[in-house]
Amino acid sequence: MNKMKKNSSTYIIALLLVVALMASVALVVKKQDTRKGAFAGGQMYLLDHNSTISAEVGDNIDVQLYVESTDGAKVSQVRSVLCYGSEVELFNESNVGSNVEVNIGAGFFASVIAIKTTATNGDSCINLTVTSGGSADDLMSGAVRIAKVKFKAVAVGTGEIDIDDSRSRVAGVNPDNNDKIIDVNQFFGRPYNVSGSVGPTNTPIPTVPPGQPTNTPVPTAIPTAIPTVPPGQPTNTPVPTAIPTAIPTEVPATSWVVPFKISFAGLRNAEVVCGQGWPVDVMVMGNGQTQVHTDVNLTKTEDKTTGGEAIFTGRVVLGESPETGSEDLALFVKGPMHLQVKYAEDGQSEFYRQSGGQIVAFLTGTSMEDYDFSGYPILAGDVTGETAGVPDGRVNGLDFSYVKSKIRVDKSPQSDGDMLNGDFDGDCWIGNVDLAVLMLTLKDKQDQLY
Amino acid sequence: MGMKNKKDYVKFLLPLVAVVVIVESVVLLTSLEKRRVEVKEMSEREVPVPVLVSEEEMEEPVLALSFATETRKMKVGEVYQVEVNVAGLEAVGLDSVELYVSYDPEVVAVDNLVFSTDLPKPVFSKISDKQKVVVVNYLVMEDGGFEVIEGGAVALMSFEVKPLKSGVFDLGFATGGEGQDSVTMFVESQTGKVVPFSVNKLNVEVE
Repeated sequence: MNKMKKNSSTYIIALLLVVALMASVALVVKKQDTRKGAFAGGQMYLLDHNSTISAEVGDNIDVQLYVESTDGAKVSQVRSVLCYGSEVELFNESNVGSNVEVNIGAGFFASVIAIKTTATNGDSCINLTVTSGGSADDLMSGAVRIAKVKFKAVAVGTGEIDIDDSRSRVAGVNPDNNDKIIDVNQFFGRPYNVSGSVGPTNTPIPTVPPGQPTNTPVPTAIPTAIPTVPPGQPTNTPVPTAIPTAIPTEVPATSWVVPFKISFAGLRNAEVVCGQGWPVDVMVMGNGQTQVHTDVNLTKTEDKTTGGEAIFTGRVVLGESPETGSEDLALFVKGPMHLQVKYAEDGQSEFYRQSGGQIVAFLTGTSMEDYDFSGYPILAGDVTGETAGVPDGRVNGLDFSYVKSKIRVDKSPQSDGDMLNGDFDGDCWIGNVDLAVLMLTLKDKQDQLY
Repeated sequence: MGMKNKKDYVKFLLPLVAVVVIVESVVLLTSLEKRRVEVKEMSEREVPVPVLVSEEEMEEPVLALSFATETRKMKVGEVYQVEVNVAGLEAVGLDSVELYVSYDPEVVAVDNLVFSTDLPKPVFSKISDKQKVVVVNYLVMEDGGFEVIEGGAVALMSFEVKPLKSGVFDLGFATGGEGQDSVTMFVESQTGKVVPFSVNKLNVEVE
């Protein structure tokens, strides 16, 4: 009897051990997915990825990079690698970062880390990283526009501006734990077709035109004239009470518009060679909403501020029924080497210390007057940050040291006409005047902060 | 005979199964550990900003920023002098010295800011109760910047403090964070980059 009991217990133990062995084998064979689970999913794509970009050699090609996140995940950092064939190249090959215009309205820093690389198949790639301060309140979820990337068509042929999915990543704000990866698993680039003859410099692709809000449908019919400009008015003469006609005219038949006058600290002569065509980014804020207008073109005038700065005119087109509303608006304007400055009242001549704004947009077809912000020039001096030559939205010792290092005693031009980073007076030469402009900005900004 | 064979078989099988289970468990654990390391490496590569910050934090300091005061035990209502000094751990030329000393205006009053005689007049200075910070920004125009020699020490500024409450108060250097404006920093003239530095806090007991 005892012997039988002993035998049966031996069998039971052996059986248990065999079961344990099988379970262990099953565990080893099974894929051990210990990867931190992404807290949300999403897509990365170029706007209008279903349509082919048609361009001619010499045309500019702008693409809009988007990330669409699921589960309300707020996008805080994006690394995207866009690869393209030999038919296109970056708009400005000598300054990779200048080809990327970050959507600061989505809470990202204006500065971008951008480098040019070559893919294994020989295609060129731009590897761009867009970051933010990570504050959830400032960030957006859903379909988030990340940046505009500027290319130009250089040779006949077809291809695609492709997103390299193996090297592109997205991070988001996840209040629940440290896992911040948004698992972007679908990527859509955009095909292009470059044809032979040299065409106009403006691209026919349906991207958002300069000065046009990013969330406003682009009109298919472009009015040929703006009703508020009297017939026979010269197109290159600034008209204080009307929209300057030199500015692009893509305005819907009925639309809200904010025309304005503006000046840049240190830029005292509108005719200087390296002071031409400085674009500004304008963020319109109202009704708790924002609209971002990048590359808003300005038109020079012969007028000057009491401080001697050249005055320019520009305007932003808000659309037919803007989410910002048309009243109590504030405009945040940033120049290419400048800090973002808030303008919120006509005739503003100093830092606007209140919240909100007092700007009221005009409806096309009605009489308009430019809001005059020129009395408080856009503060100059943001030329670098931790990454040399990439502005970081601040003016501090890094900018001072950068400009100081570029000062030349020899006054021969340092640029053939392109904007020179640190040349705030636009004379194509960086000198003590530019350093003085930067130091004034630093003092002004510190006075505002402290 | 048959029973004996069976017994021998079981005696042989039991240790064999046990050894296989042990070996297999070791393999399983090693495999898991390896995958954990791979996941960690991937995560660090994929999130660019924190990596940059941590690399920066690991840099060896070139300068040592510190407070100096005659005593760390103060009395309410009395006035004491505090100096801010920098010591060179390596020789370096500075284009800018931006100091932001944080304090709590509810427990200590700060007054009488005196600047360094070795540096040019600051481009900006303020005792800001609003932002709870003492700001002094020096910018150096000279070629090569302001030289701090290895082993040398420079007085950067001094100010008076008057404790308002008994207890403990701190003075520290605001080093900011991403998106913040009050960032104590030194910028090297030669490279145009931020110089890594070490800081200490001043903890004061107030009677």
